[in-house]
Amino acid sequence: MWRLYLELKNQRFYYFIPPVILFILVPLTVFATIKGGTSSHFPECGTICQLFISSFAAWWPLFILKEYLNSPGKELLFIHKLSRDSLFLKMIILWAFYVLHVVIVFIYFTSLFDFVWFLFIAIITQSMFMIALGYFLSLLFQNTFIPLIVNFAYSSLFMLVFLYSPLSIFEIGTFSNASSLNKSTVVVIIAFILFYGGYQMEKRLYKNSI
Amino acid sequence: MIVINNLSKRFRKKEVLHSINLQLENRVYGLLGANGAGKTTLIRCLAGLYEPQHGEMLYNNEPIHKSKSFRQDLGYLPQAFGMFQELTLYEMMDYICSLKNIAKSKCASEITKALTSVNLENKGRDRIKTLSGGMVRRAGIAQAILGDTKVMLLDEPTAGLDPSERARFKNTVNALKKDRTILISTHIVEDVDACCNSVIVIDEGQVLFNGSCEELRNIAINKVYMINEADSDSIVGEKFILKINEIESKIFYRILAKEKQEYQSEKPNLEDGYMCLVKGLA
Repeated sequence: MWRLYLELKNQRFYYFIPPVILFILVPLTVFATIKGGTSSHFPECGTICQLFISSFAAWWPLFILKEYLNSPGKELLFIHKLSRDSLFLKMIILWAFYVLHVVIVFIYFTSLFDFVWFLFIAIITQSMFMIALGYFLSLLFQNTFIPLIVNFAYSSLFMLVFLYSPLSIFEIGTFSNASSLNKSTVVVIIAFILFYGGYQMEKRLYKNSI
Repeated sequence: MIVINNLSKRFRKKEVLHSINLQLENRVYGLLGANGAGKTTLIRCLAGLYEPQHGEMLYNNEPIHKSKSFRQDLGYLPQAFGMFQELTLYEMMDYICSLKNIAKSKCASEITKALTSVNLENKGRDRIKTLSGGMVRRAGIAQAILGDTKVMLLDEPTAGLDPSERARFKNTVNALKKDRTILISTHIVEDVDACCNSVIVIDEGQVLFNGSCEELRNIAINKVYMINEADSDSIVGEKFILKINEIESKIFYRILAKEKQEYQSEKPNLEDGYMCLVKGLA
């Protein structure tokens, strides 16, 4: 955990991007949406939350993976294998850490809407998918720039253009009951498959690391 | 002691190391070779980054890849060092302490000791990205000696350093060499001359020479000549021009010749011996 703390600290300014999005941009946008109309705004707010919160889930993991894949002298991170970190484990810890932040945002949302917890579940599964996708693609391409672009392109395309595409992990609707989470199970399964694929590549990365 | 027996490493069809046999004791070894000779591959095999196709590497009679003591005793400086640019030097050292499983209670004293030995004790609070190239190399050496390492593998530690930083590096190695096995990969012969007890010359993945600096120098005895430009055609047999000097408006060649010449031979240096080997003039 100490190493993870230092890796997050190494992100310096970039570390603060997700908290700014979660604690400032998302609440302000949701608040502005509510103030701007008269009818129920929960579906629009659901869209805003999915767009911003899910797409920034992979931010910290990708910046940490960057050190392992692109930094000069990265071999050092692979030398002491007996105590080596599992990148997969780090991805899971970072997801849990991100979920903690999302919980705080949703505590605020409970004062504005009913039934926010279905949206919360949808968002944390989407966040897991985004982290798994970033992890898988980073190890596949040995690069973190392509996954970062894929991450934001995917979120923007399927949240703003192809809303009803079967390839989309995002939900459109009111999130008023458990049936609104139809996609979430599939999203979690795909996330696990991506994590598994990524983990297999990670083992090879350590075995023949350069 | 490290023993390497019949080590071979291939990348797809290209064999980079061919049947390497070496014994490394507690002293400073210079691993000399041209770019692409296989120096980095050999060091990475030793560090456990590459799995060789054939052969074995033993540390105190135990295979290196199974040896816990080797992991604990190993200090490694990669060719390019500069990760965690936004951390302070102290934090980066703390990270390496954690990687090396050094007890938290010992970290502070270990870091101070390592930074002091490379004259960076006042730079602990500076971010890595603000350090000069030479300081980053010294920081690399400092992380390599964390935990009182007994084996140090330094891959081209002086590449890109200015002369004063190189001199400082040599002093650092000389201060650290007691009771340690240090293997320094380089293609700069002067560095080997200044701080190594032994030399290993590697070319196209094969060990051409393994011995003392004196022995390498002796290979070029009666093979080095300083001759006037006008006389250069009179050299008998194979030759190789090492240097062209201008002295009092006259051009002189420092030449390596395979056969004994009628001119007075020069006292050879380490570079002469090395060039004799790699040019096949020995």
